[in-house]
Amino acid sequence: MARNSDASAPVLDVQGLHVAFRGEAGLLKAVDGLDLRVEPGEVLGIVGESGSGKSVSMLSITDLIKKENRDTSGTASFLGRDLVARDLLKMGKEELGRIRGKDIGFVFQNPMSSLNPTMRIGAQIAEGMLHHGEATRADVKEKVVALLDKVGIREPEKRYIAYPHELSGGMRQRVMIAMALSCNPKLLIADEPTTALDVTVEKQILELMMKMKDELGLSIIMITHNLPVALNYCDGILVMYAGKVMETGTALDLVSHPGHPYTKALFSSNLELGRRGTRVEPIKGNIPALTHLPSGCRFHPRCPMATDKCRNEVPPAMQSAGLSDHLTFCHYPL
Amino acid sequence: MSDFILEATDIRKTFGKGDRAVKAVDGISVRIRRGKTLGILGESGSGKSTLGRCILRLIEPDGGTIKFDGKTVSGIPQSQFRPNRRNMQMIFQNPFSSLNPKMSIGEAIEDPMRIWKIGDKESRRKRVTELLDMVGINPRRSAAYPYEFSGGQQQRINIARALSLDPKFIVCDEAVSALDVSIQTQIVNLLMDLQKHLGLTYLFISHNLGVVEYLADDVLIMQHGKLVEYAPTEEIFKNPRSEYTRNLIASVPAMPTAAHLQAKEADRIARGKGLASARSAVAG
Ligand SMILES: Nc1ncnc2c1ncn2[C@@H]1O[C@H](COP(=O)(O)OP(=O)(O)OP(=O)(O)O)[C@@H](O)[C@H]1O
Ligand SMILES: Nc1ncnc2c1ncn2[C@@H]1O[C@H](COP(=O)(O)OP(=O)(O)OP(=O)(O)O)[C@@H](O)[C@H]1O
Ligand SMILES: [Mg+2]
Ligand SMILES: [Mg+2]
Repeated sequence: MARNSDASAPVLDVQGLHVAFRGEAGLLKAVDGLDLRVEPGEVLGIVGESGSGKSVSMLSITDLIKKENRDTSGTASFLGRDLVARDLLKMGKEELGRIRGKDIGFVFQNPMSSLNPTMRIGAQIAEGMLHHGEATRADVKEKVVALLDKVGIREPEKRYIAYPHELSGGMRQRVMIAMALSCNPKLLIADEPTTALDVTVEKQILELMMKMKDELGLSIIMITHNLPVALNYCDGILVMYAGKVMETGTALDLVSHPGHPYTKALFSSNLELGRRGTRVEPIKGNIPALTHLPSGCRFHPRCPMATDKCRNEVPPAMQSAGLSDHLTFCHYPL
Repeated sequence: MSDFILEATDIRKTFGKGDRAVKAVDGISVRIRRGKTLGILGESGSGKSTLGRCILRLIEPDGGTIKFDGKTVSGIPQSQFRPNRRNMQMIFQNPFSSLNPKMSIGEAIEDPMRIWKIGDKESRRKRVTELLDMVGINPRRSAAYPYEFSGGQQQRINIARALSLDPKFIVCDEAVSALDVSIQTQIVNLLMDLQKHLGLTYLFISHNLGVVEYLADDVLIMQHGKLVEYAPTEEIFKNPRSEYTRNLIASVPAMPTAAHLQAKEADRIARGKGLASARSAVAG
């Protein structure tokens, strides 16, 4: 199999990321040692059950969740537009503020809650561009209209003055993408970008993201519950469970030989078309309380193949099929 | 006794007036057999929720007739309709916002019985235990509050609450859409098992075609408030008659096969863009 072996610097290189929240029930370990790399022009998907730490990991490295009760450690080296790699976790507020919304764009799950309902959409996009010096008062409108046009909003001059509530869900998500792309980011982080949309609009939005990736040379991190979406649109996939990576590889690796029993269980629990007349089984049990994580492999209480070793020892990274970049964190990879 | 527990004919509902009027439901008729499930599909804004709400008379339809369990329940005052409400329940999309955060889950499930003055305190408590058991939640946790449960468990609690009055018919409006894949399957299987044991009838509204294909007996497809197609589930998915339905089905992302991904990769290499993967630094 042909693999890209050139050692181009990754856009984002996260090492040993730990995020814990201090609370009444004790320390909640939301992310417990995460490594990930995103190469230029690559789409990395993060999948896993609810509560596995997908959102928290991305929101922590960009400092978008409250700090008061949060302990974050590790490194998150980001290659800026100046091609200098800097650790996001060591940056001051101001420096990070310059990168967020500019070099790193965000698309959140719920467009309604991330757009200002009292502000016209054109002005909202313009604000960020002016703030980051991407446009001047004189040319900002022209640039925003061009951008709205690019993300497939018809009659962009008219829509420039629309309020968010006057747009359909799909159009609002296009506006969110336009906003995220407005300052020519190198990395787009999209957290469940299509979960709230119906399938036809979902497809349009995903295709738009891929087109933008090719045109603008972006890298994308896509967090999604939707396994077919992740496998169809992402190059690399990270399967997370209870704060840890269970398996990482290409979409092809994961489809052709999933290495972790968790990956396998997750894939086979999915109600995709064509399951009628069969009994689809969910993964047994629930994700553990992150304040009281199981010993050894944290998936062991739900794993049909668990042994004493799984109960006692944290599994190391195992190579699957001899591929150095298909890793399974399991004592007994499939 | 009629075979059809629900017969709704020519339901109409318009919101707004003049040139701002939206015909949310524009002459829809459905019939659902006892113990069966009708799935409603259609793009966002096509009128699915409005139809469900009209049928339960949570909003008043502008026109049409509704027969429930052989009796006409439309065109009668709400006060006369009210006794039917016990038999017709609804489960919504967001499990957390449909539970009162200040009530323990036991109280929340008991509440409808209290309101309907069913049984005494003791028999109601017994029923709560039974219901929690039925939806797979340990009854010993009945004093716990909603926030102490995961999203999937909260949706189970909502289902237990909807079942507390022993309804015959439940409208599920995007009841699993906010849940992750495994929990979706858990809840859908639970609904199907309950249907088998209790003879429940469902109107299942969703934008997830995979879920609807899995559990519905018949499917109604809507667009702009109008009926596009209405047929047994197999028919809809095997022989979609309309362009709209075909397009809907074609838009669902399928689990890719290895061959498909290999072809995609070969194509990329041909275009000079090899695959860089989620290489983990642990690989060293
Ligand atoms: N600000 C916070 N304070 C305390 N705990 C938090 C906070 N934010 C998230 N958590 C907890 O961290 C864990 C991981 O949450 P996260 O939102 O990353 O999950 P996720 O994988 O994105 O799940 P979903 O698919 O449901 O979005 C959860 O147990 C969550 O309750
Ligand atoms: N209370 C209301 N007032 C005014 N218009 C409404 C109201 N409720 C719904 N509508 C409009 O009626 C149409 C149908 O809405 P409905 O919520 O029934 O669609 P839906 O198919 O359930 O969509 P979704 O998949 O997004 O939930 C939409 O155009 C909507 O904007
Ligand atoms: Mg999340
Ligand atoms: Mg709806």
